[in-house]
Amino acid sequence: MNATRLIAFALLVAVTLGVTVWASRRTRSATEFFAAGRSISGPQNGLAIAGDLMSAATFLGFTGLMYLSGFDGWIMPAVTLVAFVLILLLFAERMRNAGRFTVADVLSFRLRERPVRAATATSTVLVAVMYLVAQLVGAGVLIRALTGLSFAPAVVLTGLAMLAYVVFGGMLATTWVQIIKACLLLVVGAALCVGVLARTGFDLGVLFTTAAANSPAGDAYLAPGGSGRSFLDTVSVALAFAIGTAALPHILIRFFTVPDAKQARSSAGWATGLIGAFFVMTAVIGFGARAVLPPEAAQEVGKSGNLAAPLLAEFLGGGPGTFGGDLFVAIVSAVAFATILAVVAGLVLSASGAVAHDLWANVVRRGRESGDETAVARLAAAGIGVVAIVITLLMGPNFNVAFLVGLALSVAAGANFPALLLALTWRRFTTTGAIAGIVAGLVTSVVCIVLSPSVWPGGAESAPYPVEYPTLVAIPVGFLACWLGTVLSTERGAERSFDELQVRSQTGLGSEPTPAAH
Amino acid sequence: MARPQEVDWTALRRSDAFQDLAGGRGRFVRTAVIALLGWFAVFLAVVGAAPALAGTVVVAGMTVGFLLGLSQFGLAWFLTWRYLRLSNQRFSGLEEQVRAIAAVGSGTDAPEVTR
Repeated sequence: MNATRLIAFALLVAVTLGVTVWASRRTRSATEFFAAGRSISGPQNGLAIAGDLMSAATFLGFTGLMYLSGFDGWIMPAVTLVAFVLILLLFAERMRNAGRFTVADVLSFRLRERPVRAATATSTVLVAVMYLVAQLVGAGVLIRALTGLSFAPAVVLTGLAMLAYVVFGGMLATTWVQIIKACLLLVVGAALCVGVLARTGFDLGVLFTTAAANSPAGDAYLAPGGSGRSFLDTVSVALAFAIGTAALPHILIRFFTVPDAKQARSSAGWATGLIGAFFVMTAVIGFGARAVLPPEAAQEVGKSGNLAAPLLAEFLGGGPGTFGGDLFVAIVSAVAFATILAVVAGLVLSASGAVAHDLWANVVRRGRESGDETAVARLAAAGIGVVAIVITLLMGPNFNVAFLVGLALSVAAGANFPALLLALTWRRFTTTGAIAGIVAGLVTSVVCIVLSPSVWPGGAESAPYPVEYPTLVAIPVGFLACWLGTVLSTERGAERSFDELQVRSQTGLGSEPTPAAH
Repeated sequence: MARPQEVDWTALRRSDAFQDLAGGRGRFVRTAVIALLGWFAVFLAVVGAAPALAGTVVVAGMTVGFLLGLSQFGLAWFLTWRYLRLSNQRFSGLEEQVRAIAAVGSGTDAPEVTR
């Protein structure tokens, strides 16, 4: 056990629980629970959205991949910003104008409500749970590596904190935990960058040349091919990050927390700016770790590269065993831990909205007034959280989570993205089309991942679908099924007209305003 | 909540203000999405089809591939800035106009989004 690190972790948990207590006093109605009372400003929401993306997987994972495979590690951060421009241009304002709490609100606006809601809610819960298990396994492994705490207690502690934020503090606590963490992460990232640049004389040329010289690959370190991925693998991964991220429910529901479309737009703008800046920093940290760390560090960084950033912090602080080194690692580790906590909380909230608002209030109760939507949401959050924790404990620390992230992003890209885009923009689109698209995107993603090298029981060599992520097939299939379902169906007369959706979603006419302060 | 029928959505959609808004926004969004996905495809194509070119150092140790990746951010930031500017200068005003027409036409505020 490492005392400094445990103290840093405990401090962090104390602060975030304090935020939760504050938020719980302001969280009663459904609008407060799901949408923070629409009280979050554009810049605040931009930070929270950036926080959702700056997960442990991007902070530790991307820097680690750049440390290990050089240029190939840079491809994922380089393409991910595409998703946020797509969100700004296609979804942000329209979501805020035409919906209240969930992605299904917007999708079912003019389609037959119950089937569309049921399908969308199912894919939302699936995406959230898969992502959640991946994050929790990562959390357990990471905390074990950083503090010496073993896997099971680490997962349970992370899970309990996550449940406390969501169940008691709703979206308000989840958002502020995310904002605090985003600020911490940006500051720590900037500090690491300055440290690296100081060591390389503030000369990028020295940084990259030294990194290449220190890597076993030499000059090839700065060229494609370091990860051993085939071209199709690279495209499938790039599509998952560029298109799938744009349709992740836990990111899209953040646009319901702002007062109006103008703030929704501004939050997407802030998110694009902050995430881009963060990715530039990950490049300096990742390549910088290779340039600055002594060659012996390669062993400690590990096969996944996840410890490149913490080791860099230790080195910049004065090296192993020194007070500075120990303190720096403690800070970086605590921030990584905060990242996991904030991201898993957002995931649980998105799933609980799908269960309580979509499945319970509008599919089961058919929209009849019932005052217990918030209570159901808290219960659903607790249930989903517990299920995810149990799955994580059963799978254990050696469970390969990479395919889960791929699957979650592929379902978002193949099932959610086509249906949401067409529901907002295509006049002829029908309920049958939406259901066909969602089901086809989901099934294709699951089938492809089972047939892919990371899961196929017959061994990676003989995998029938020889590509890493299912997106290559799932996205075209999702769009095709939406189109086929629409042209083959004979239904007419949607519940509300496309004209109403267009006018409302583009002008904000009649969108729910911020409730008066109380 | 019952939905009053006074709002004539089709007439609103056909109003000049809304046509201006949807047309102007649609044109920008289409151009921007094509540029964005096009540049994304160029990046992947260079990485996949011309790894040697992607690995050529241009300046300060940065390779063609690295700079192409970095330029994705440049494009994303540029499109974001353009869209926010257009929205504040043109689209917000047009949205306002459509909402005003709706308020005059129906004599009441439009019903709230209820789901």
